[in-house]
Amino acid sequence: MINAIIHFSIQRRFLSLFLMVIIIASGIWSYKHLPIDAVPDITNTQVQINTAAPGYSPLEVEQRITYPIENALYGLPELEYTRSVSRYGLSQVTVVFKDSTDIYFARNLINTKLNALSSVIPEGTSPEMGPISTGLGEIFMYTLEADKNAVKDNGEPYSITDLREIQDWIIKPQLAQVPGVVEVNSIGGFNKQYHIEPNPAKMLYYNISFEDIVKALKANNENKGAGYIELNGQQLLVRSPGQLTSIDDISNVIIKEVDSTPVAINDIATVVIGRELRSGTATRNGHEAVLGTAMMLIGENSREVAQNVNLALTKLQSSLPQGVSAVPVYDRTQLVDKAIQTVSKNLIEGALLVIVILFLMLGNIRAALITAAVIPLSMLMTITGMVQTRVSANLMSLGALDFGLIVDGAVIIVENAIRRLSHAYQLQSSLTLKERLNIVYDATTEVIKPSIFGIIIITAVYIPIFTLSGVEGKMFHPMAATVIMALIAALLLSLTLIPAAIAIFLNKPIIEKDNIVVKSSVSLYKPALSFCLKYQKSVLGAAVALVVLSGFIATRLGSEFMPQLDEGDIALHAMRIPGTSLEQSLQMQEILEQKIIAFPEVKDVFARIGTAEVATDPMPPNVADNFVILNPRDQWPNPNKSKETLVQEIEKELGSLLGNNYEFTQPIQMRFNELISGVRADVGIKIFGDDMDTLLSTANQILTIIQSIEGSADAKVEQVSGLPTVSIEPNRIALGRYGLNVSDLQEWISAAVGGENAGLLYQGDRRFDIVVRLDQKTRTDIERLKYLPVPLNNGEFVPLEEIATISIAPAPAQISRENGKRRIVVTTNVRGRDLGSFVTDAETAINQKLAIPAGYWIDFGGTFEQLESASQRLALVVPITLLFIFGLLVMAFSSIKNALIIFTGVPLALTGGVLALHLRGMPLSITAGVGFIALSGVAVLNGLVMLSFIQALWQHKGFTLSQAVYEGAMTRLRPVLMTALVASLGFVPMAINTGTGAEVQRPLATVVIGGIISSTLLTLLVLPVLFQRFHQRKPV
Amino acid sequence: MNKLTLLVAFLSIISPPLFAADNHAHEEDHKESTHHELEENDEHNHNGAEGLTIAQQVIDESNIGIKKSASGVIHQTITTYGLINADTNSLSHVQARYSGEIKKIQKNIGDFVTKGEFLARIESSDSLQAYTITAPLSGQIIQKHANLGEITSDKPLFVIANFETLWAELKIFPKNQDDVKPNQKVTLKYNGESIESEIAHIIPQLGSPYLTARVPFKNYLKITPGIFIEADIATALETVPVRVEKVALQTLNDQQGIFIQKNNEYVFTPVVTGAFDQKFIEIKQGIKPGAYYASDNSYLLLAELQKSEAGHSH
Repeated sequence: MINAIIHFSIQRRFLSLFLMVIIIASGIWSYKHLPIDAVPDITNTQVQINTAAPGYSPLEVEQRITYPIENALYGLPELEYTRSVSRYGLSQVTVVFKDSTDIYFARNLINTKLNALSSVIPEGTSPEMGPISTGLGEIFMYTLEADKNAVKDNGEPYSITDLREIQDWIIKPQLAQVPGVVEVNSIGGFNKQYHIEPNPAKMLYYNISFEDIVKALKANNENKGAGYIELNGQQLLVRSPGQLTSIDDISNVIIKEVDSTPVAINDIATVVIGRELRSGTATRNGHEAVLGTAMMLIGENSREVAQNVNLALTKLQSSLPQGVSAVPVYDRTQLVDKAIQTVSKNLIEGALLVIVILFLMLGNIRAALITAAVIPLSMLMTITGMVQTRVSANLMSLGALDFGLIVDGAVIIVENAIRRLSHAYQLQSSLTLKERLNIVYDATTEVIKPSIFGIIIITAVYIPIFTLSGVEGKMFHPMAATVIMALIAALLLSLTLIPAAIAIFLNKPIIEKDNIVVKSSVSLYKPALSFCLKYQKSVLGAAVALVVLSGFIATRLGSEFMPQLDEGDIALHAMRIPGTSLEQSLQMQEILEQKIIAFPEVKDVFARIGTAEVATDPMPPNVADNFVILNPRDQWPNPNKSKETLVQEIEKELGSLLGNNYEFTQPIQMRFNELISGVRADVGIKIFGDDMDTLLSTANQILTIIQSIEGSADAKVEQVSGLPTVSIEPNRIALGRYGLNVSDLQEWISAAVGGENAGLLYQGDRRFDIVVRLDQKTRTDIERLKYLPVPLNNGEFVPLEEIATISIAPAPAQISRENGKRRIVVTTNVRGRDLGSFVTDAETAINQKLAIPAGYWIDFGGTFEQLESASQRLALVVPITLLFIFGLLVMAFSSIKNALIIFTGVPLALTGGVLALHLRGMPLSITAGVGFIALSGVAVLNGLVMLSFIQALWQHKGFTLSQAVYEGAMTRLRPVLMTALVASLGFVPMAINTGTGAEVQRPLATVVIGGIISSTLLTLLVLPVLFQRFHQRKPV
Repeated sequence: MNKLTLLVAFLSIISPPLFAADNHAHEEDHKESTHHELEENDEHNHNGAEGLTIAQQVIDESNIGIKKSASGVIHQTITTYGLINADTNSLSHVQARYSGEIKKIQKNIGDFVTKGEFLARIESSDSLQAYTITAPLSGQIIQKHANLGEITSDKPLFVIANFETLWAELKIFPKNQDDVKPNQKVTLKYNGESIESEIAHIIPQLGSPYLTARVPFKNYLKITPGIFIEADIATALETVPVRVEKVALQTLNDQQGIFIQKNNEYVFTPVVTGAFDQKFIEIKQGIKPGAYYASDNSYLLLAELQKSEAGHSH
């Protein structure tokens, strides 16, 4: 079949070339549709259901909202698990589906369930699904700034509330139109509200309740249409406008008549533009700010969307009031551009190096160009494949592409064809077309088998990567997929385009010039090979020693999960103790930012405190997400300062600030952590149950048990308590004496302290809440709260303290649930022993020492689960893969012995990789691991090429064993050297690049370069020795 | 034999990166937490159980106010509400002693009169003697039922009221009845202004849970009777041996306390509190007068003390 394809390609060579045009066209089209981002998206398939419940405390949120929602979600298809947090005023249920689930399908399912819920959850609250976005979604942020001199129409300077109004009603509607933007989230400032603040004494005097005020406002705030009338052939619409439009309007609303005197709102209350009870705010460079975040729709091209948002923002500046501007503070484009720049620089430089080497080694520019043509073509085919399989282009997916590896197959074919052609031209000065085509066909078929085998083998070694699951899987699947696609593309090209191109373009007599590179390598190789064949035992001994040594070094190398992409910016969580108020947090944040901005390396610092309007990340007010945007390096006082040093300096500087705890990370990384969440320690013991106190005491008991187990470190119980609450507990007997119901009191408290909504005030599109509540001073002074007069039905009053007990007590700051049950987590890391036995010990100890109350149960989780499942899977898949490769080799040679000899190439190849890592002081990581995988493939491929040739000489051409070994090795020197050089030099730019994102690829490139050097030496020197030794005893 | 060794060698080298990678993630955690532990130990060694050592510069930067505790006065107040009534002593319904024809009338409704000022002249129907009616008290004529030529009846001719002095009738509910006594100072609040006065007497009400504290006051704000009013009663004016600013009080582990400064050390000291007013609170136990304590922004010290607990959970 393969031969037929090659035959066809050579016969119909122009048709084959035409194929190229199709490949190019589809590649270019695909490129336009290729989603490009900096890193792969590792977010799981999840839907957030947010329900705002203003005024509800965590306990009430859980009972009235979270529980019914979770309950409704039971039994959804493809459901992995649910988790939820109930906080002040907010319920967030996160529904995680199996990874393969279509997000729109999942959202549809949830939507159906939510619709049925509306009758169950409290009136006025409505669950909403979070934006259809992922961890990569926050692509663009901007803040609103007003010039110091800028004034509003009324001559006042712009307040933070005014800026928020501009954000919500001028900017947001315009940005929301940008294609690919799914949500524009606002945080900071206050939603403008119109507040009616009645005087309690006057309310009593006129016997007016909050309810009366609300009713009056609602009854006097509507426009009404009244059909139309016809007049002299004209149609006139009839309407009666009655909406409130200003503070004056509100002030003049009549509440009721007392002794035939109308009492208007301004008789008993003041009307002001007030501030909402907000749950979060933003800061920039040490002052409070309004921050907008554009979120990208899932699967869009982040670079493009961010660019468009930026463009739209620039355009809409003209629509902003004089002196107010929207300033971009974070733009994903920059990161993506830098990362893509790094990747493309690596790829282009690598490709150029490959072409140069090909030219040097083949000594024929046409041949070199034909081979090099494989690079762009296979790249275009890969891009087409990526678009079709929805793999996005990023540092990881493009990171393992080595054009050296890709052209390997083509190199072998072209080299052989040139050798054969020049050989033929030496015999006769000209060839007929038919002769030439035959030679090309022969040359191709001669080496195509090892080529195909090689590519299949390299592909096969990537298979174990596909068994990685979870985050690792999402990181590395695209990488493996891209490499495999590129290899397959290259294989297809070697079968079709390469023979066709050789047939067309190598039409002139070819004389193999005495190339200086090849010549000098031959002159070096000859004595070396002879030497090795002479001192076989010492050579093999040295090889074994080398493997042992590198094995030892491998154990001494550090290790890390994977090198972290340097996003170029810093993100840091500033955390204060639970219960810290938003205003206090804001104050602390402002000092903190002043410290950070004082660094000359820092361009901008901004932060979100608490929860934004759309609760994509429900943080309590005591936590702030800081973004520290750095200046370009050349503007630093010391451009060579590493980012780690800077982070350390910042950390040190901030350390002196009181009451803050910090966690340094990076913007995208932070977002991923927030979304994926889960237990981040080795072992997490989750306790499920109903009563918070029982949960906590059980957790503390478990903590004690765990701490006593050998190997436990950093054991702790998740913090749950700590939100101080003013509890106004009704005294039922006293209430009865005064003729009040509990609900009368509660409604009064809720209106007086929290405020009661009395409709909307419309100004064009803009709409603002009208809220009735007591003035700031009265409602926030706890000591005076107890004297507040509560109206009685008979027009009299009673002070609050007579009918209720007011106390300050701690309450749960948040209630976390998982799979529909309250839970609390005890976490521990494990040191000095293996996880498996620790977990077994822990389980036994807990079962023995602890009687868990009925209705409560525990569950073990944590990273050990993933580790275990990954280990199990790899322990199975790696041997199977190796067996598979071995099987292929046995098939190729029909000899187990030869297959084994080739296999010895693997450990020796790995030696080089380990040494290279060691020399560069790099730790082992998954990316380095991927390098090792690629390396094993290359090693096998090299051995295959060499051995098959020796074998052919020995068995079919009648050479003696030692002659065959010597001749074969000498003949294969050029292709082996070439493949080795192109593969390793192709990675050189990647290994030495220092641009954004290079740190992710560097280990991989380092391993491959080091490994290929050792593997080439091995193939050239040790392999012939092995072959000779093993075949001497028992000639085949 | 060889096959096996090779296979094992390959396996062992191929796999460590993959396995080790995960291990490392934890290692990082370990490091972090070790760091943390050290920090905590540090604190403990230097500062004892509930204390902190902080440089003066940091205190200044954080705007933490340091005050000296001292003896002082605590103005304890309660807030009550009640109605404004006219003083019964300042209201007069002026009537004709002998009924007769009104011969002369000089004052009109709304006029201010002084005590003894001529109001009207009436000719008695019985004796046909004319007599003069004068104002029994100074005040304003708020009602007038007398016109020239009319015959007086039983009705009052004038109602003269003097609103210069009014009564506030404040309701005192059971919770505060023990604290409220006559002669206590009262601040009446009306439209953002206030009037100072004293409780004249306290009257029990029949069938009502509350007592009424009557507070006469000079009505220079021109309040009309019948208005509902808010008032603060100074229930105690106590001089206490130790008082601190209320903002200094913080709660740690369900215990109220104050951060006491000694050189650069700030120690959380639990206290027992007593009376308090708007600004100060009495310390009955825990600290001595003359101790320096953190007042403004003392929350930062509490936050610093507890910050190891500050975490970010999702």
